[in-house]
Amino acid sequence: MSPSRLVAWLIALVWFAWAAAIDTQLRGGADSPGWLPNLVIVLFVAWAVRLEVQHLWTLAFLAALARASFSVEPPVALLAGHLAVVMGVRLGRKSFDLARPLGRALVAGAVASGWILWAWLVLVVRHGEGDAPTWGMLVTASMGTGALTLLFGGLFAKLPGTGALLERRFVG
Amino acid sequence: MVALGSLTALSLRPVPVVEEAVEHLLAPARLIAEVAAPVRWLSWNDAVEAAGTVEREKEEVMREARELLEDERRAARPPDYLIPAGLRIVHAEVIEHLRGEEDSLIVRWADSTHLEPGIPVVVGEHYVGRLAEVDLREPGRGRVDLVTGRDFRVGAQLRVPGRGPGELIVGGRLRQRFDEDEVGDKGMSLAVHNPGPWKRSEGPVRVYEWMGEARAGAWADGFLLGDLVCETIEGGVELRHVRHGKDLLNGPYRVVLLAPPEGAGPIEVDLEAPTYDPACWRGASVLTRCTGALGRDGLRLALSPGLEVGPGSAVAFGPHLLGRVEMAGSYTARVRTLRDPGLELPLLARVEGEEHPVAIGRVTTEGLGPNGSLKVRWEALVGIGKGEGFVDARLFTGGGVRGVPRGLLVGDTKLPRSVGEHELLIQPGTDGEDCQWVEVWIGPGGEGGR
Repeated sequence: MSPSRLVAWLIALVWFAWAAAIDTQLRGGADSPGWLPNLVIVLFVAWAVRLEVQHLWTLAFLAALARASFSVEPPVALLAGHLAVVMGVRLGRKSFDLARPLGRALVAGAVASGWILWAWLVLVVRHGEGDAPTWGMLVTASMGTGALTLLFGGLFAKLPGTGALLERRFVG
Repeated sequence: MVALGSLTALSLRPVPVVEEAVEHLLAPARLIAEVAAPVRWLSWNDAVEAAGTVEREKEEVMREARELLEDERRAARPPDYLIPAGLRIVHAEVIEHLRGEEDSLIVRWADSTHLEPGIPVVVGEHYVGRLAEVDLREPGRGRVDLVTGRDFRVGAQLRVPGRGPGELIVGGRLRQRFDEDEVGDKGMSLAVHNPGPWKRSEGPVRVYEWMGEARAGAWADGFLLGDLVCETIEGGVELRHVRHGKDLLNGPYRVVLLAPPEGAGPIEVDLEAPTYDPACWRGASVLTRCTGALGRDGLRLALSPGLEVGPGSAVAFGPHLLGRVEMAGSYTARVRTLRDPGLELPLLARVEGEEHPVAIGRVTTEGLGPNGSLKVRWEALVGIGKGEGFVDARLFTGGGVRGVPRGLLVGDTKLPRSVGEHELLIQPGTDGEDCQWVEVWIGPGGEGGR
């Protein structure tokens, strides 16, 4: 791995950390609205649909590590969730151009609601508690995250310091 | 695919060793959380204000908690007329209800006191069980078998005025359906194994080891097992059982062991609750508040290197319980707060109008309720006092859960007096939302809250 790419990964980790910290801060209140976009998902999907496929595992690991620092959910569940998204994106990219605005927005929306369902499953199975998410909750979460990815996903993918991540290597 | 499958399985069926290893691998999480510290600085003023408020009320709450624990001690002490002459009474606290072994308790007494298995265990005038095992590795610890145990038997006597006493064998919890419609007056009932030909179907049942139990067994003679109840069940069968006055499955938090004298030692061996002993706590800064989908709530703490913190250890903000450690790694610990659904807490209540504290037992958090309250689910097996309706209560932590000391403030609530499953709304003493410095329980001798 080239030094510039290594630095880019470290900076990506910092961006993930900031996204997770802001997420936590926004969702801390009892009455935080359900449409609040999940910034980690926006950032994760924005990169996942553009990065070279072999780098997606690293991306999943870094996103899970950053989120684990700010989440009460168990780290293994976070890693499993991100790996599942990566597998889905890899599969999707074989047939569709997910890097287009609508494509990435749909992916982000699906991931946002899938994430809530996964978190609920982990909570219920581990602790036997937790109200099942309603359809309304899932739809609003999808809409908020999807809309932000639609509008700013391109911008998120080009955050300062992470340009080297999107460079492609061509075999001559 | 294999990795994903394994991680999914571990997410849903956690393996403690793996969880701990992952938490240690996540040591860099501390650095990552520090990277985002500026986000936390936004609420610095609120943090200072919250710390000031807690500090101002700390002395008052601690005094209240100490009084509560002293009242609990007094309530657990058997009345003098029931204590056989020459016996010592040894106070003990329940430190654990073993998972899957609900009819046993792990108790702790003064570690300089030597006890033998077989001696009776009581709470006030109530008979609770026998000391079944003394831990040879850790002095002052042992296992108590409760009278609710499937194989537990104790001789008993029903006093019938004008006639000779009716002798019984009592032991084992009578399992019964416990749904909303059938709760009625049922609750904690003990099975009667030889109902006898006598016709009397009610009255107090007391221990009387008429079957020729060992000497230690007879020391409990006269202690109360409960009230005899006779009811007709399906098929017209008349069922007699003994309704115990204590919720033995969730409480009690403090018991007394009746022991033979030991030389010129004291006749009453006390045990102080170490809750407010500064040596049992270690400070930790809050790296970040943690949230998750579905209203999950927690904290990530920065731990000093080398500090051993056990899973389940209490985390306090002044005298307030904030939550419990879910998992601790090398430099950080993940904490679930009282707002997080599914957290188990043992509670002890100061109930308005009741002379002694009431052991509520274990409740389970269900997340946030209206107006910043905490929703918890409580299954009451024994009612509170006489009458119906609700009564004001202040809730503190009880015992029986490792890592959670007795007497930390949880909040105020209105408790239903009736038996059954209830949803309580607790107004917490502090929401802890803005705290940036907490204390983690490491227990007496710094044993990591274990």
